[in-house]
Amino acid sequence: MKAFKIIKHPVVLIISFLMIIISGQHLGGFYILYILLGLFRGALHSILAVGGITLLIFNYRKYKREQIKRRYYYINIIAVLMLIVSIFIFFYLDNDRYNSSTFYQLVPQIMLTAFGLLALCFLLDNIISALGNYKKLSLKDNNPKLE
Amino acid sequence: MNTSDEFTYLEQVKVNLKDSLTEPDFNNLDFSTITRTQIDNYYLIRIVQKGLPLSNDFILLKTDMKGLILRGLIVHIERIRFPNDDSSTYHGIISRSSLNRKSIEKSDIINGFITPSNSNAINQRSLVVPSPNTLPDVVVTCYINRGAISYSEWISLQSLLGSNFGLYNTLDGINTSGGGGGSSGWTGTGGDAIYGGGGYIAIDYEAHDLLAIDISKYLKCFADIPDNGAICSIEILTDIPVDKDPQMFFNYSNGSPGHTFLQIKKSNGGKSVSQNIGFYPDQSWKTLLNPSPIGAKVVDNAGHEYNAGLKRNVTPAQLKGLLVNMEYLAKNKQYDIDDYNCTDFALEIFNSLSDNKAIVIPKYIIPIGISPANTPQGLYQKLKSMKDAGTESNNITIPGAKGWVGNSSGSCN
Repeated sequence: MKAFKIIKHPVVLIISFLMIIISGQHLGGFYILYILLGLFRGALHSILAVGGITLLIFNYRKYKREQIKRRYYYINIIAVLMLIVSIFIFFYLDNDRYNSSTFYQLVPQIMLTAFGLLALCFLLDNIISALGNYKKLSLKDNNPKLE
Repeated sequence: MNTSDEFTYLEQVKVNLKDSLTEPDFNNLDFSTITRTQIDNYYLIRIVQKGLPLSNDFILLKTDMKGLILRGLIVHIERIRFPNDDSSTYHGIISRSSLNRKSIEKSDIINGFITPSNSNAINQRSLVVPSPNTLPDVVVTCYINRGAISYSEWISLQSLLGSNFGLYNTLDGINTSGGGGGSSGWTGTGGDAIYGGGGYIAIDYEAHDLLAIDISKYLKCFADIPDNGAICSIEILTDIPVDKDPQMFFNYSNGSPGHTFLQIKKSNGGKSVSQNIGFYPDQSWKTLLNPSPIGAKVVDNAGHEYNAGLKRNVTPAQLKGLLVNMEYLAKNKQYDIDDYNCTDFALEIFNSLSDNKAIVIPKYIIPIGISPANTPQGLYQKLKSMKDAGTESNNITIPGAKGWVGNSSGSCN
């Protein structure tokens, strides 16, 4: 149960997202580097990534001590979808398939799969919570102890 | 091109053809059925012979914008269907002769690849293993029209002239899809016409996992061609990261710094070998996670895009030295994004020619790099400046936007 609380924590999701390993033909590294490289040139994948992360962090901090409302889950859903679309756009707009090795090498595959599973868990958890009883005291009641 | 220019163009083609073809061949041409494709600053046109379908027999011409014939062939192509073949497999025979029919080359088409004629090859098609990462010369595509599946046969006309740049025209000159090229319909006097059936499709070569090659087997092919009288060359080619902006030395949307590779050729009589070799990290995701050199591999860069190239002719003895050096470096060097990348590898081999014409290029610090490095962009800038200054300008190729190298011969046992 505690493990599940850790898995669906937004900070864990953000870390796994930023640590996706991209493998290009000559260059490779963590996805955070590609986000930063594209950010100041207005790359769509960078904007979506930063937007999604910002929403997650903002949402988490806001409802840490406040009564959770349904929009908490909606914002989480939008944020995680932005992260997923960011990584999708990054590969989709790569016309030269420069980074296609990401899908053929073991370590990048593992990191990408890990994010995928975490994102799926996070998404499902928030959808179920949004559809269910959203009247909870605060995040603190369910907040896993990470410190 | 307006109507008047079209007329002038066609008249110029006719005049040139009359000088090149035999009289019976010229009189047998049907100028009312011509397809034309524009590629960069030249045209590829096909003219049908009277009574024969375009999909089987045609005159293929490469002309400049004014109609001057740069290259021409008489082509006959036939598809051969075997009982167990599926509809997308193209086997056949093709013969190409010069316009005056003095030289004729017959080849087989096996799984879409034109291969040297071998009486057994067409029946033993499974023995032919095309070089990996290359585009076929003839492809068959299917499309759904009102629920029914139809098939179109497409051919790379450029492959008939020596290089496959990934642009394909329909064999029958109809059912073309978008993608560029082709002129608008025009009817000239006397019933001559240029039709707009020259639209082509572009099939980009998609490099998935870049497969490592056995460099020894690739270089062995050159030893199979006699040295005496052989014509040898080495060309260094650069693919800049952003085609539309030569000033960018890094593509910030996909993280590409571009690529530099080598094309080596040797020919003697009717035999020729061409290999395109590039140097890559074995597992590129380690490059930014590990500041130390990492494992490397060499890859067949057949069909690779390029934006500039410098070619030098070499003697067979010089070629041997280059190949020995290349094999040594390929097997012993590790990859380092700053200190020994694809550009360093290509430059070291290219500059090992002992002719005191070593290329020195400007260095740049790539994003996330530590020290200034040789880059494809730096090489491009050097070649551009050399061409502008008239230094070896005849040996430097800078295509309008980009070009693609041809196929590689592959490995030899």
